[in-house]
Amino acid sequence: MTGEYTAAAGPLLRVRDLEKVFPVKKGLLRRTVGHVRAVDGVSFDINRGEILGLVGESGSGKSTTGRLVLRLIEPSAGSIELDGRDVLALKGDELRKARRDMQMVFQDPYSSLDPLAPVADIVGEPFQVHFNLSRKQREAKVVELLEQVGMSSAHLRRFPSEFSGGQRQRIAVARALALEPKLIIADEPVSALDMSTQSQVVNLLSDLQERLGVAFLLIAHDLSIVHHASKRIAVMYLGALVEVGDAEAVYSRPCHPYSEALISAIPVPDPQVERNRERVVLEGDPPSPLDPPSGCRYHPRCAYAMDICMTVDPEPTPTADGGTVACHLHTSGPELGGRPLAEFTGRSTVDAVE
Amino acid sequence: MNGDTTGVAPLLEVTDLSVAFTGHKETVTVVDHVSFSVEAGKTLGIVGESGSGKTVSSLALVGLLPRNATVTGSARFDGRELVGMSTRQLRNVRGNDISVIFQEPMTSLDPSFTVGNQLMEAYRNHKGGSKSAARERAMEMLRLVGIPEPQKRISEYPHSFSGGMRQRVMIALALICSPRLLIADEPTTALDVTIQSQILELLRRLQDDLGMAIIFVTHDLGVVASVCDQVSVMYAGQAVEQAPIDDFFAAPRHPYSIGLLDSMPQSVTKGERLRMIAGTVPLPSQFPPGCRFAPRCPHVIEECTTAPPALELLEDGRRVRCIRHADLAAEATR
Repeated sequence: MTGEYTAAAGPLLRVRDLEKVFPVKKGLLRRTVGHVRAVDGVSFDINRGEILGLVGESGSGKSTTGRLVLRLIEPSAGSIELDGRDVLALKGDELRKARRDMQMVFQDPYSSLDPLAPVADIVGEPFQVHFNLSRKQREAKVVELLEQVGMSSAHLRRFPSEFSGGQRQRIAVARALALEPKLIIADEPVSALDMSTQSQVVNLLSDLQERLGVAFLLIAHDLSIVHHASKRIAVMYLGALVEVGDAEAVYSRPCHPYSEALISAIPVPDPQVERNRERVVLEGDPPSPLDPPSGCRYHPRCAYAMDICMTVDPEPTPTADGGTVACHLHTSGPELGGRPLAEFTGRSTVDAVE
Repeated sequence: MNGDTTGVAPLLEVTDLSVAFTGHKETVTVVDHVSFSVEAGKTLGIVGESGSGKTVSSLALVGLLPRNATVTGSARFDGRELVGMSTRQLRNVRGNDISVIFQEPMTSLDPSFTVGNQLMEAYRNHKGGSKSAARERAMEMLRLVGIPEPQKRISEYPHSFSGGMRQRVMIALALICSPRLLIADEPTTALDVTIQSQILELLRRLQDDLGMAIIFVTHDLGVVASVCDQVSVMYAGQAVEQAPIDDFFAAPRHPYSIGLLDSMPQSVTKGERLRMIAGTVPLPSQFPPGCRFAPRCPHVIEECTTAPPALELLEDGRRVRCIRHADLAAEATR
């Protein structure tokens, strides 16, 4: 699941075999009746100053992955290293200090900002928690941060309700930047915003990455906007990564049938293209993670499913573009390997079984 | 839009619709003399950012606005005037002739009744008839919107449905009395792109089968391109451009439409910065005196800020509210 490395010192974030199992409880006695493997063996790296896009449908476990990395929830298994330090071994004060290096921006800027606090307090709170600064020093810092995100000291005394969605998201980003983190986890930062505002926020994230060298884990369900900001993209389905690779390669030459379906689902602002194009329509909902399918977890919805897909879970295989893909179309030897999906018409014997 | 080129009388003809909200201190006009029409079997897209008045103008048609709203102008639906109708008359129109589906499938279904109960209630309220006939119809609708095992799912509660399935139930609920006009207010915004494409496909198919007209309110021009026949772009309470979609996407005429299209991620190649419209939509109490888009417009000249521009009818039947549209079109072709 690794891409090319630029930093000699190794990746900023190294996640290996991350797992989160939630017990499912039922009834009066809250007896455990089953387990949901929300995140099931996820490994990836984020290099210093890199934006990694993590995409997938709701319920794919992408937000859970983000929260696990920050240890907002505890992983069931696996390892997380930030800057060579084992994040899972940290406790109490040490963990709090480590969190300076990792910050979060949430999806909904309408609920992630305290409605009763002025901007100065919202953005200044991290300083209060982590450093002993005077009010004046704090405010100077806050103004600096607001300017980073395209706002100004004129906004200091205003409340969140006086801002539009895009501006609120800027405030949330300013707060995340306060402690000069090395990594920001942005969980669907634009999906609650209008199209024109989405571009503003995505551009802001790209700028910050370039200017300050902050790395981002950019979690989203819309590939079209993510691929612009990201260097690499990881596609997640039902708790596992199915494809990881260079953003442009994944977007324009997806290897995994699920990536292809995700991209195909994005409506294009051109009525003629929309009328004539052949869609890879993804039937049905994602299956329940309570009872994931056998073999490749995508096979019940996959247009290319073969017999082997029902029984054997595919291992990640290298792609021509330097990424990895977990799909039997790419593991089954020269006959199938490396051919673009569009050329592959052999829908197999699965029909007979169904 | 209004000039019916086909000669068919539109199913819905809205003329100079305005909506004002009365607050404690002031009255603000959030929809300002908007006109549009929809033909049977066709889809009109109303596009704009939050605060453009797109939702308010469509909900005003069916009387779903709070009490402090004042609606003026005219909205003729199949010969009947909707503006000024009594609550009782409107209730008869809603659900029966005109239905609405909302953005949030999570909150628009009642969690304490089964899906079947809600479908049957809607049907019997308008059409009467026996319980078993209503159940039959409810089952048929669930099948129509692609819910597997309708005979089992009909007695389940909304919480056991996924987001996409709930939106399908909402559509079934909206269509159970065979309305002739469906108002879809951002019906796919809260859904995953994969589920969105299923729902859009479903709406297209249902429209073909049932021949209803659709008003599709959205901020996503990709969605407009995939389901609409006509588009009306709204900005700050006014229609700024109205056109058939092929003309619109081939060459948008209003700077705001151009900005919206440019800000789609598909309009730039990777590595380029995403284009955006600077600034935000002004609040209704702070609309500028001239063109309302002037403060954000890259092509603004002095005349723009003095007098409000009219919605001009062009030779090709499109409408544009911009005094510079001819200059800009000439510049673009050069």
